[in-house]
Amino acid sequence: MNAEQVKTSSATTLKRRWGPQMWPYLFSLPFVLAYGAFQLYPVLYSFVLSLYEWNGISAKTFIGIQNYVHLWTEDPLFIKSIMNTLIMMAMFIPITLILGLLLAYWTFNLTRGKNMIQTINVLPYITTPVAIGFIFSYMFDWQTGLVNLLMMKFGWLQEGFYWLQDEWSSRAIIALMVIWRNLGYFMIIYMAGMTVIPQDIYEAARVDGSTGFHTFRRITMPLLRNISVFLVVTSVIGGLQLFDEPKLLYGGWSGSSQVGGPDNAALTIIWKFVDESFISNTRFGYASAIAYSLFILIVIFSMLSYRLTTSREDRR
Amino acid sequence: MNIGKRLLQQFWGDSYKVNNTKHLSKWASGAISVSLLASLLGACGNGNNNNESQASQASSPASSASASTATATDPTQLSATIKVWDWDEAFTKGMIPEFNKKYPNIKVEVTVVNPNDYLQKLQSGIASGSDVADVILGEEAYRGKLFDLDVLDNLEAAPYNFDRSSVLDYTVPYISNSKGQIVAVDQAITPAGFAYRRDLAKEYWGTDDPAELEKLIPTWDDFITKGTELKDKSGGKVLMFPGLGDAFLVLKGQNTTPYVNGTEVDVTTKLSKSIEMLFKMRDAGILGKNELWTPAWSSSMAKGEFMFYPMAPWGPKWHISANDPEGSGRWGLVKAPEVGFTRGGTAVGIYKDSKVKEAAWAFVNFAYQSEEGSLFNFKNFGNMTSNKAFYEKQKALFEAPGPFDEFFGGQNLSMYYLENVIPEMKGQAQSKYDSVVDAVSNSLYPLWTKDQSITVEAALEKFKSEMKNKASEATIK
Repeated sequence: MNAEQVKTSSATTLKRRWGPQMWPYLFSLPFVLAYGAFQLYPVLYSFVLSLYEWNGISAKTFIGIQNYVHLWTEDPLFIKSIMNTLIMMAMFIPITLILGLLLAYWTFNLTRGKNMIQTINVLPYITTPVAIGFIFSYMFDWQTGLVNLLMMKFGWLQEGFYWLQDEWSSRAIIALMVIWRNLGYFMIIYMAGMTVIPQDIYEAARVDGSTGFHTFRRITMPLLRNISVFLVVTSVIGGLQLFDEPKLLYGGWSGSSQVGGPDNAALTIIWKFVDESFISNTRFGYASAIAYSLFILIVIFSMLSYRLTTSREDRR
Repeated sequence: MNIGKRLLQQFWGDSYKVNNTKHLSKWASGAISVSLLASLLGACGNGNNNNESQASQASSPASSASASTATATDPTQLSATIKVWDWDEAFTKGMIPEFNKKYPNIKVEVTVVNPNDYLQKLQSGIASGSDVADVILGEEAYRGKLFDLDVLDNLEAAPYNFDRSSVLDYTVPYISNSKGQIVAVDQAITPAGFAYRRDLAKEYWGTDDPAELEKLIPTWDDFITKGTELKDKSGGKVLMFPGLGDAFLVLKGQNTTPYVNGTEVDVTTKLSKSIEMLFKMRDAGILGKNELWTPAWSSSMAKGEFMFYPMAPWGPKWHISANDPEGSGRWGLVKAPEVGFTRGGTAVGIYKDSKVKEAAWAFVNFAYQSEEGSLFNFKNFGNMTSNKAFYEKQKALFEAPGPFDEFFGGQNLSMYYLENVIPEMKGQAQSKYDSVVDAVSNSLYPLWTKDQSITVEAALEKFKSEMKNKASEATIK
C-alpha cells in the first residue's frame, strides 16, 4: 500500500463518515433534541425535585426520601386516592371491555346502517372532556338534574337523590362517564380485530355445526385475545391517570370547586397530585414524589394486567 | 436521501429538477432538517412569548424596562414599561388610557390571566425565571397564599411610602402579610350585607323598608325566629337562604378573630360558633338545599324561593341583576344580623424583584387610590376605593343615585354600605390557611346539606381532620 492509496482510503472513510450514514442521525436529531429538552429533562428533573422541599419560589431544601416516606405512611388522602382510582377502574374497565366487544360484534354483523352506528358510538370519544363534565353534572344535579326529575316523575323517588354527594354514586357516575366516552373507541378497536379474522375459519366452524353464541364464544373471542390484552393494558395505564372526568364533574360550575368530591370519594391520584402542587398547596417536591409513586404503580399494574390477560404460552 | 429529494421536489418543484445535483440535494436536505429543528424549537419559544405578552396594549418603541430615576413629582418624567396581569379586560381597557393622560410615558402591558390559574402561572413564572408581572393581583380565594409566598414588596417602604392610615381601617388586615407589612392595596372594597326580595318581605313581614328590616333581624336568633315565621306563613315555599353555603360564608366571614399563629391553626376558635349557628338554622328548616353557583341556585333568584342573598358592592351587577334580569325594583339591601362581613375582593401588589417599581406604583396608586382614578373607577365600573379621603372629598358622588339603585327600588346602595355596613366592620388577618379553610368549607357544606343528622362536634372534628390532610405541616386545634 503506497502513500497515495492511504490518502484516498482515508478520504473515502471521511467521506463515508459524513456521507449517507449520517442522514439517519441528522434526521432524527430534531426529535431527539426536542425529546431531550421537553420530555427527558423534565422527567429526570422531577425525580431530583422529589427529593427536595420546594414551593417554586423559596430556596430548595434537600430532604432525601422523606417526601416518599411521608406520602406512603402518613398521608391518608394519598392512600385513599389510590383506592378510589382502583375502585373506579374496577367499575369501568370490565364493563367497557364487555360492552365494547358485544357492540363491535353486533355492529360488525350489521348489513345496514353500519357506518351510522359506528359514527354515533365514536362521537363521545371525540367530545371534549369539558363538555362531558358539564353534561353529566347537569344531568345528575340533585335539584334540577334530568335523572332526578325523571325518577320523581315515574314515582321511583319522593325527593331527588343527591347523586354527586354520595360516596358510591359519585364514583359510579365517574365510571359511567369513562364508559360513555371510551365505548366507541373500544368498539372500533375490536371491529378492526374482527376484520383480520379469516372468513374460512368461520366457514369451517359452520360446517362443523357451530352457530351463533357458540361461534362467538369459541372462535371470535379467543382470536381477539391480543386486542383485549392491548385494551386492558392501555386502559389500566389510562385508568391510573384518571383525572379529567372527576375534576370536571366537580369543577364544572363557575365558582364551586369541591376538591376530591364528597368526602374525597372521587379523589384520584392525579387529582391529589394537582391539588398538592397547585390548588391546596404549592409543594412541588411532594407532588413530584406523588408523580414518581404513580409511575411505579403504573409499571406494576401494567405488568400485572399483561400477565393476567395473556395466555400462558404467549408469556413464555 | 429519498425523503430529502421528495421534500425538495415538494418545496421547489421544477426548479429543483433543473439543479438536480447530488451536492445540492445533500446540502439542501441537511438544511431542511436543521430548519425543521429550528422552527420546532422556535415555535415552542414563540408559544411561550405569545402567552406572556398576549393582549398586550399598544406598542411603543420606548420599551426599555427601566424606570427613569427622575423625580416622581412630575408624572411626565416617569418613563417605563410595566407588566400587569389582570383578568378584567374591560377594566384595563378603560383605565389605562385614563392613566396615560397623566403618565404619558409609562406603557402598561396587560396579560389576561384567568383568576383560577393566576397563582399557578405566577409560581411557574418565578420558578422558571421567566417574565413575571410587576403588578400582581390577589383574588380573595388565594390572597393569603400570595401574601405568604413573600413575593410582594412592602408598600410602606420606599419608593412607595404608602400610608396605612389613608385607607378605611377595617381593610388594613386584608392588605397585610403575616409580618404585619402592607403588601397590597384593595382593588375595591367589598363590605357585604344581604340582598333581599322586597316583594316577599312586604308579603310576609309587612315591610320592605331596609331600616325596618334591620330591626326585625338584629341578631341571628331573631333571624331564625323570623325565618321560621316566613317558612310557616308561606307553607314552606319561601326560605331564608338558598343553601348552607350562603349562610356559612356569612357566619365564617363575620368572625374575624385571628386564628392563625405561624403554623398553628385554631379552627375551633374560627368556626365552632359559626357551625353551631349554621346547624341551628338548618335544624329550623330555614335554609334551602342549593349549592352555591349551581344553575338551581342562580335561577332561584328570579323565582322568589328565598329571601336573602349575601351581597357585596359587586353583587348588584354580577350576581343579582345577572340572574334576575326582570327583577328591577323588587330587590333591596339590608345589613346582616350582628355585624358586616366581606365577600370577595382583590388585592393589588407589586412584585418585589420588579425593575420598574416606581412606575408600577404610579399605576397602582393612580388606578386604586388617587382621586382621579377612583372617580373613574366608580363611575365606570362601580368599584369603590378603600381611600378614606376620597369619601370626604367626593361625598356628593355617593349621594347621587348609582347605576343599580333603580334596580334596588331606589335605595342608595353606596350610601347604605358606607353608613350602615362599614362603620362597625373589622378585618381578618390573612394567611395561606384561609384558602385551605375555604376549600375545606366548600367540600364539607354539601355533605352537611345531604346528611342533616351530623352534629356540631362531629362536623368540627371532620373539619379539623380535613384541614390536617390539606395542611400537613400545620398544627390544627
